[in-house]
Amino acid sequence: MTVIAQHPIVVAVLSLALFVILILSFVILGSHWVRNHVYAFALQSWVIGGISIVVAIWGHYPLLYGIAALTIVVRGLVIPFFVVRILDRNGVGRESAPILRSSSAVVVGGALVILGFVIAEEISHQLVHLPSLAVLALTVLFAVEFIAFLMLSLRTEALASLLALLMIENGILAGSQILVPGMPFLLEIVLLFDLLVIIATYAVLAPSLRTRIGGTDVREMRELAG
Amino acid sequence: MIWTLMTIMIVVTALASVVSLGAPQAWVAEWANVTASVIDLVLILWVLVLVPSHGIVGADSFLIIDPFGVWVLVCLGVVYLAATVYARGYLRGQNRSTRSLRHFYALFACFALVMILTPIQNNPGLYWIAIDLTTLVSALLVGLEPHRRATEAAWKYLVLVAVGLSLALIGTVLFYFAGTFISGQSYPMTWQSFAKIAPRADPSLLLVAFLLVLVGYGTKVGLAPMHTWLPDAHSEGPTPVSAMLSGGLLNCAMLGIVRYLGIMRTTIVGNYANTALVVLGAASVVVAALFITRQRSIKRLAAYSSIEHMGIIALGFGFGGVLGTVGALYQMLNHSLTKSAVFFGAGNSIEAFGSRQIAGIRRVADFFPVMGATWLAAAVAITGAPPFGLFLSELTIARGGLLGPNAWAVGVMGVALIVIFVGFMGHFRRMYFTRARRSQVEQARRESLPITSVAPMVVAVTAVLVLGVWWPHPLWVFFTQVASAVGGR
Repeated sequence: MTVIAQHPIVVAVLSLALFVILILSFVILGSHWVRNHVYAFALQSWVIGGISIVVAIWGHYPLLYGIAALTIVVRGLVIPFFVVRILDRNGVGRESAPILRSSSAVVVGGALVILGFVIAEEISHQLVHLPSLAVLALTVLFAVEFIAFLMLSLRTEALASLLALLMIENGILAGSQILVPGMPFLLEIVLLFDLLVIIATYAVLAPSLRTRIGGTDVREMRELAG
Repeated sequence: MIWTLMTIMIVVTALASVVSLGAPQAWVAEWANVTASVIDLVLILWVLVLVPSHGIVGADSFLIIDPFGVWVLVCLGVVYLAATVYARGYLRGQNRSTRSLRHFYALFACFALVMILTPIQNNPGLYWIAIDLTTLVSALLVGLEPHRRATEAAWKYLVLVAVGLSLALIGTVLFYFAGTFISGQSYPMTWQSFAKIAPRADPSLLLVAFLLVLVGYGTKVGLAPMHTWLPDAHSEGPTPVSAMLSGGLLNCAMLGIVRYLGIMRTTIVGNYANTALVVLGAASVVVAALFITRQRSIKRLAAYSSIEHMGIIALGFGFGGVLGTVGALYQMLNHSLTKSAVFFGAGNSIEAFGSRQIAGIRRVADFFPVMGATWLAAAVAITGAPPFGLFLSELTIARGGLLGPNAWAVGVMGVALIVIFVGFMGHFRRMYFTRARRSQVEQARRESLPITSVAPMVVAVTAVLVLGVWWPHPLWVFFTQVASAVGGR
């Protein structure tokens, strides 16, 4: 952390990357086209891969090159490829009846970013040595998590909910690359594997959703209560 | 020796999954699972005897075998065996295709395998992944039940638990982050290294991390108010899966919370961590009591009882000390045995009467005397009434609670348990003594239960009865070893 923080240009590049990740979260939140969600998720993953490379160079963490490659390939290419295939197969396009309009959702998302910042600041006050980049990383980590929660509560399309779950892990990975770049390599690899399993699970459940519930609209799932 | 036994256990269970998937006939998959579950239980009991009190770390510090983890495996091994024996008659009665049975048994063994791997993870990150994998595999198993509600339950389970676990992942990252100020940017991520850095790390950051972990894994355990997925998933899946989810998986997730709690107890904010767990435990018991009294579905009734039991286990660990921890550990086994029997009874009744509603099940003991008597005994046991094991464990937890600063929770637990007893017995009174309609009589008379559907219930209830009148001393000694590691005070 201290090694990276001592280079103002690197701090600027990483800060910019974190902002891009946050903005892409708003793209996902604001758009009702599920295909846009997939593209934004893929782009987010590429930016995270870029963060890994910068931290690897300036922080001297050679293992992060491997994580960068895996992030770009698995999160940025393989997962979007599979999700687009599922989209095409299921004929999912746009949210048919969004619960909240895009503009309202973005405003709520903005409030959640402020909440993330307040939490990050509070943690920073407790830890006197925390640099501003770490505060930003914590803010993005919490904000992306909150925006994904908002998406889960607003989206009616099951695949959009799934992308919100994937976005949560993107936020955590982006934040952890800067906060704890020395975190064990194996963990990152298995997390990627975990994402693939989530997609596979959805792929298995999707036909049941269509045949038994009549579609992938989560509002149809109201039978279980009490 | 211990590692060899563990390796055999893992290989045998993995083989059962592979054999089941490629089985030409359904009976091959059935026997592959039964054989694997018998071997697993024998090996687990063998490991239980051999495991040293301080535990052993292996596989380049990635794995740990300690008394607490082995105890969770014991609970799992018992349920896996009971559920595989029960599954045979249950699934045959549903006239499923060979392909469907192959898929079920392959996933079932896979589920058991992931759960066996969970308690032995020494890396908190890999432990998180193991828990996540259990969610994915079991969501598929829940979705296998061929009706609309099961698909809905599987989806809700997948999404809600994934959200909860994401919080646990952030908590894990923050725990590691707290250690970077002491051990440098890169240090091993193990339970031991977390325990080493905790006393010197920033207490407020650790507390935030712990609360995230508690909410995250608490979602998986089914602690209120994060419990909403549990009644759906546990009630709508196939009955053997319900037993595994309740009797095996919940303990695996509780283990993570307790490992973190043990670490937090070495810090100055340990009491806050204890109280947080006690509050969630008390909330769970209260929520379960409220929903049990107004329940209409028999399997949801059993599912809410799981929330109650997990709440009581959370209270035991939250109270800490020898009595609280020992009681919670004993409660884990008693819960696994009793809940399996109650779910099996519910599954039998649903198949026999063709209804999942309590109102659709009548005069159980008249039509099925052995199963009916055993199920009723299991229902009495599950409410924590004497002379069954749950009474002893709950009494021990209450005694532990009275010695600590959270004695108020003992009062809450006591009142909730009375409400639960009255609610449960009210439902069972209606199912056993209310007059049956003609259609119910005709439906039930056509059914006959195979021995595999009743024998696991009889064995489980007998075991809980024995555990209620005789608490083996070696078991007490074993529990005190765990208490000395994670119990605090």
